[in-house]
Amino acid sequence: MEQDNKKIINPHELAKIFESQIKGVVSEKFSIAPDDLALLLEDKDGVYFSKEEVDTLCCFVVGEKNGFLYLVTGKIEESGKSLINLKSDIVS
Amino acid sequence: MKFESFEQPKTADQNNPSDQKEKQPEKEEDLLKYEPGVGIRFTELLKKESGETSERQEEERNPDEFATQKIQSAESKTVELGTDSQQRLDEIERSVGLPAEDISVIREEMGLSGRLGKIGDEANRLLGRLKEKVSGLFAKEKSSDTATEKSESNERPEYSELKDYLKREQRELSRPVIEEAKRKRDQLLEARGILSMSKADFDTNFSSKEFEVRADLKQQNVGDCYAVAAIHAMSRSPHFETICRSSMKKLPDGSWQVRVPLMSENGQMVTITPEELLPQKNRQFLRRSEKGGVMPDLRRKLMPVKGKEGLQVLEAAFIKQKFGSVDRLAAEGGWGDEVLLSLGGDNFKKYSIDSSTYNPEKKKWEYPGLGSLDEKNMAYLDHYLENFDPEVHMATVSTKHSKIGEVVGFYKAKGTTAKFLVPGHAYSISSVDAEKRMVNLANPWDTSKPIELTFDQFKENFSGFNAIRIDSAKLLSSMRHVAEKKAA
Repeated sequence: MEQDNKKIINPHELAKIFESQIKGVVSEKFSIAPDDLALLLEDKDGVYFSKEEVDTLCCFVVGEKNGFLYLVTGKIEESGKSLINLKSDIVS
Repeated sequence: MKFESFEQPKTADQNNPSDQKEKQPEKEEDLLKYEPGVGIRFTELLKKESGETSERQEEERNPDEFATQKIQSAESKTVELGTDSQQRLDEIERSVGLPAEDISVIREEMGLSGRLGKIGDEANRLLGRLKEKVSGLFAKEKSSDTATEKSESNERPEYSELKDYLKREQRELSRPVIEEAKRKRDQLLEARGILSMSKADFDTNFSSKEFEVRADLKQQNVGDCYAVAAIHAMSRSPHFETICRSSMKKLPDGSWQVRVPLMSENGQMVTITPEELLPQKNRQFLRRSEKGGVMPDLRRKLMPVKGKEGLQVLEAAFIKQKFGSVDRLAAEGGWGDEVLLSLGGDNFKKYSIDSSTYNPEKKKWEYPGLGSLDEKNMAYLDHYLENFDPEVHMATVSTKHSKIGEVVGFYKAKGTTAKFLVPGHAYSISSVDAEKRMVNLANPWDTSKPIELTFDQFKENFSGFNAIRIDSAKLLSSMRHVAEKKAA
């Protein structure tokens, strides 16, 4: 069932819907203005479903001024209607 | 039977409930008795009911003193326990009335001395653990108190900055998720890039094995250890292939085109001909060095770095971009981060620390080593080492200069038995094992032979840390711009 749900959800669309929350997580943890953050929505691999953790959306966020590449992950719930437990880390 | 009257020390049968009941301790002394499988109940002593209220009050009033008293009490009880047991044993042995030789035979046969020793050891072990626990608890309390006081007081801005920096490096995501992200990022970079060099050309000109970039380099007779070290550090990066393939190209006539800085949109295109990779005549041959010294320069020819052609091209491109020609003599002496920044441009961010200081009284530079850094710089250095990631970090380091002027020689790395370093020389960091706190270094004279030093040995023996961090945003942006320019 979860697999079926995954198939109908486009990770890029999902990330676009939750863009402000995704930026918010990075903004809060790393004290960066949301305007200085950009999601890599135009890249195929900029947003993806994790194979390591089920039902998890992964999204790259670039700090345009500081040069860091962040990863934000969130659990997908209600067939993609909500994204919970958002976490972020620096990838490079 | 000679030994019938010899009483064995009584022990509680733990499987017999009535026996257990009989052994319920009534007095403090009982609480301290050793019980097989249970040990000595020091913890019980700390929470025994009698006098509990007054003890708690005492604990609240003066927790440090309270803990010290309890530890002292436990220590004295341990000594008493050992002494009491020994005395009881002596009494029993006296009552038997055997000669001393027989007693010692009995002791040995019964293993009593060993058992007493074990009891004593066990008591000491438990006492040690108790001490550690109590001191740990108080240290924790003290540090949290200190932390609260600090945050309430006027915190120095640099500490606040450092705390923020360290906080953001704390991992929230699991390692597999981060590793997966790194693989995805590489795919993303690959998808964005327009690579001017074919994979086959890269393999031929850069790597020794089909799937591994092995930048085995050997600096020759030119004093550009810093450049060779920087190229070696760069070659350790997983991005090295992408960076080189996007910015370098071998032409049919054997010459090379290199965009410097690599990956930059408006980099200068440097052409390196096959002749420029050959040994060149030393214009300083048999003359005194332009940079001082009494000895004439005995090098008839100046040799390029020994290694794969692509790596020789990088060395030549750096020199040509900086000096206008591949002037190896002019390139002698420098810093690794200068090369990295020259080749990487604004895709790289400088991350350097130097412990050398100028002593105006003695009118000379002093090289006390990285171990002498102030608290803030040391924290940055530790952070860099503990989080060293070849994906984003490239580092060269320089040893302390010789105390006897410019004389070249070796010295043994302090604290080691078999590692020799060269004074005033650059090395590259190949990898860091943060868990074991080991730094893996390479000498540009032969990068295939790793040198392993502990963090402490490393800090003791090196005085300069010349590193960079890859700026991912710039790198991505550069790749996009390079791609767009190519498409246009």
